[in-house]
Amino acid sequence: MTVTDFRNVISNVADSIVIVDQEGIMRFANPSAQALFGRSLEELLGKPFGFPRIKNQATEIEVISKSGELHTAEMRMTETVWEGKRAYLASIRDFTELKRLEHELREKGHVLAERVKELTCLYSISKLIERPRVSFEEIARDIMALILPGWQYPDITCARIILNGQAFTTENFKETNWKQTSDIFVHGKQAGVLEVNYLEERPESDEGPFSKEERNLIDAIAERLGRTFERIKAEEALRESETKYRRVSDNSPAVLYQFMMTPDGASSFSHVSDVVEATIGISAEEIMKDSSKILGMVHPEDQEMFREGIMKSAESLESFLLTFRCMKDGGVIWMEARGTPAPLADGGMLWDGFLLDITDRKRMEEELLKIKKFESLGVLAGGIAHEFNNALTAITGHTELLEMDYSQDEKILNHTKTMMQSAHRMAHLTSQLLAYAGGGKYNPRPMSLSELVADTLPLLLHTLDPDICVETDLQPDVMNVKVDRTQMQMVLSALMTNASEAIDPPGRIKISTRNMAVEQGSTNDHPGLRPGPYVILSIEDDGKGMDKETTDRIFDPFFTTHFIGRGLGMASVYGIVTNHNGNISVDSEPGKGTTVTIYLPALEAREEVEAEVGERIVSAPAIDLPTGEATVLVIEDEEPLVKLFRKILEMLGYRVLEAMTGEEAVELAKTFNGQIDLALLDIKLPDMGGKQVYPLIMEARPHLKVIVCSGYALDGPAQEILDAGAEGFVQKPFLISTLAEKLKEVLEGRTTIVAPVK
Amino acid sequence: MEKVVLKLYVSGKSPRYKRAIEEAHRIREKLSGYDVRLEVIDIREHPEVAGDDNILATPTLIKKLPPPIRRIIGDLFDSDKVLMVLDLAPLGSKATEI
Repeated sequence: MTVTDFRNVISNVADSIVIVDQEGIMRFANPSAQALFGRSLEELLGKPFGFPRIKNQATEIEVISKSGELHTAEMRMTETVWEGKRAYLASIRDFTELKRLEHELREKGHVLAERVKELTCLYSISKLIERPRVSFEEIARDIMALILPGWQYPDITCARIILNGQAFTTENFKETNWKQTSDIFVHGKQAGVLEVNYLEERPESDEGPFSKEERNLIDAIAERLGRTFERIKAEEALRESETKYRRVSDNSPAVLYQFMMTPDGASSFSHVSDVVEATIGISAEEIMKDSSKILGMVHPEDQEMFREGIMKSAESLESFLLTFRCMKDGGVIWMEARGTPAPLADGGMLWDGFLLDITDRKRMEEELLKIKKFESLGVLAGGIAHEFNNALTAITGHTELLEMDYSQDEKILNHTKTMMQSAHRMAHLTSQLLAYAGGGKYNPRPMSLSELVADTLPLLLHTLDPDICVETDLQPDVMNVKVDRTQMQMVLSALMTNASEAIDPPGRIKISTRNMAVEQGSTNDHPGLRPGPYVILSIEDDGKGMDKETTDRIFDPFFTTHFIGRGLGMASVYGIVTNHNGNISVDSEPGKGTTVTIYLPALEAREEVEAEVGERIVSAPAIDLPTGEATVLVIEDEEPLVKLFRKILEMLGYRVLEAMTGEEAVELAKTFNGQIDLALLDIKLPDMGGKQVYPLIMEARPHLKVIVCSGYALDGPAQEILDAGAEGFVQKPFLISTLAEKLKEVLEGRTTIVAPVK
Repeated sequence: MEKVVLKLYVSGKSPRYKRAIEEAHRIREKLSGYDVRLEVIDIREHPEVAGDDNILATPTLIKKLPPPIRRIIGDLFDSDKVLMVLDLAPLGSKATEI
């Protein structure tokens, strides 16, 4: 190596090399040193530098360049020889850049640490607020603990959340001058505030004591608080509404459901309320697992209609309302289903609706229909009865006349006797029909049940199979009961019919009556009866009997049996008996016959049985017919009857005028030149009712006496005319003697309160 | 009493310079028999002064009086050694070569 080589090395080395003599004066500076000091060699040489004091150890200095720049450098000093004299070599390394980088790194490290703290804070908070079913108060309290470490100076940081009227603070919270706040928004409205305060003063930068990142952090936390509050409140509201819905759903008698169908026809129930189990007999769980369980319960005959109904609803997007039968417990119940469709995003359909058991409603509808039918039947029956009575009147009237004309002819009298009996039977039947049509008009009178049975039985016997033997055990001393005669006759008739139909002839029916007292305390044996005296009527047969199930339902109006009562079902019997404050019980065993027992409250004192006026069953021979002289106006639209009336009246000695319509009658009343003493007024006329005719003829002839003549019963239109002032009433068909009596009575002014015929 | 004038040049308030200032004060304490004046100049605050004494680096400690003028650059650790270099013997001791 040459000197030049060494010079090259010194000249090119990066470090600055300076040689200082014993006085501390610079003797040499290499190009790097010149650059470092920012001075030329001439400027540096001969100038005082100073002693680099410590041998072989690095010492840190700051170099001041000519321009005033400061360079951090490391200086090492060694001893050397320069120009033969002892000197010091100082080697200086510029660390400025390195120091700067170090500083920057530290700064960046610090910044990073701060960001990490903030992110950790935010992350922890986010995890915290995601917890389900936690109250907002709990979350706010827990957040307090997480907030502080997120700030630069956690030891002097405190925080407070104010939201929804509540405040949550860290333990060390104080209002100070160094505060940072961020508003909390709930549903877009300012609802609270998050505050972070420093308890002591901290070095301020341009932004104040809080950094830009802390500003972002507090805003981020406030935003999360707002959203969390919204979410929690929404969850609470949802839970409340779910609870409410569940209460409604569980307490509703209707089964609430949600039913879905996929585009390929698969169906399922996403919700069914629990009451379905009581309604149909399958649990909600089972149905939601397998929807075919409930669909399979639809009655086979209704399945197609049901399916079509749902399909139609799916196509038209209209609600469906279906009524159909379901099989339950071996029987049938009626159900009503409603559903409102909503199309789903996947092309399927969702229905929300309810199912209701409408079996009771259906029953009532059927009952109502039956009642209406009965009503119209009743009206029909009434009409028929009226016509019958009119025809019967002609028959009985003429038969009586026959009897009068041939009173000595035995053969003819035999015939007429039979004819009258038959006619009376017919009359009795029509009176039954009328009573039925009248809707069970109730006219109770005191009477003896034994006598009633005795009177009625002969008629009923004709209807029984001749091989059935009827025994009676009717106590003559039974107390009176207050009953509607016709209704009790109907009861007897129905029970006899049932008994006879249960018997495979030969057989026996026994009817008995007796007194019985129900003691205080023994009412358990006779449920439904109050203590007191009763009269018992019982009908016992040795027919095939009934099982318990049949017996239990025998009074049920909808229980179809083989017993077809003629004109009345057992239900009506039950109704009549209970209407009389009585009780009825049925005792039966299959193969051992049936006993029906009726209890009727007895009248305390034995009352006189009033003789029934106008009793039609008793055929009292008319020996002396009361005659009279008067002019009678017959107002009647049926020609045979008009002829009959004329014949009878003339036979009795009266003068007869005829009118076959209401108008004719009024005309006659107005214009007839002569006295009219009495009018026989039919209720049913072709142009107007007797009720309308009455006031018109009375107007024309104020002193006219009127006897109302009707095929109907007294009640109703006939009574109304009587109330309006008519003097008497005669029911068709009547005996001539009855008519004759009545005429005499009215004409002589002997009318009493008209007693009803039945 | 002999007068001693010391000037300490620093640039800034970093720990290094604080230390240097402390050490300068220690050195002065060692010069109890002298009338010592110690001046600390921060060339960051007064950059123009650097040129007066031709300061090329800090810390630099200059003994202005008594002559000869001596200057030390860098660490002022070990005040005895520093005094030696500055050619200042604490009264009652001999100066020796570094």
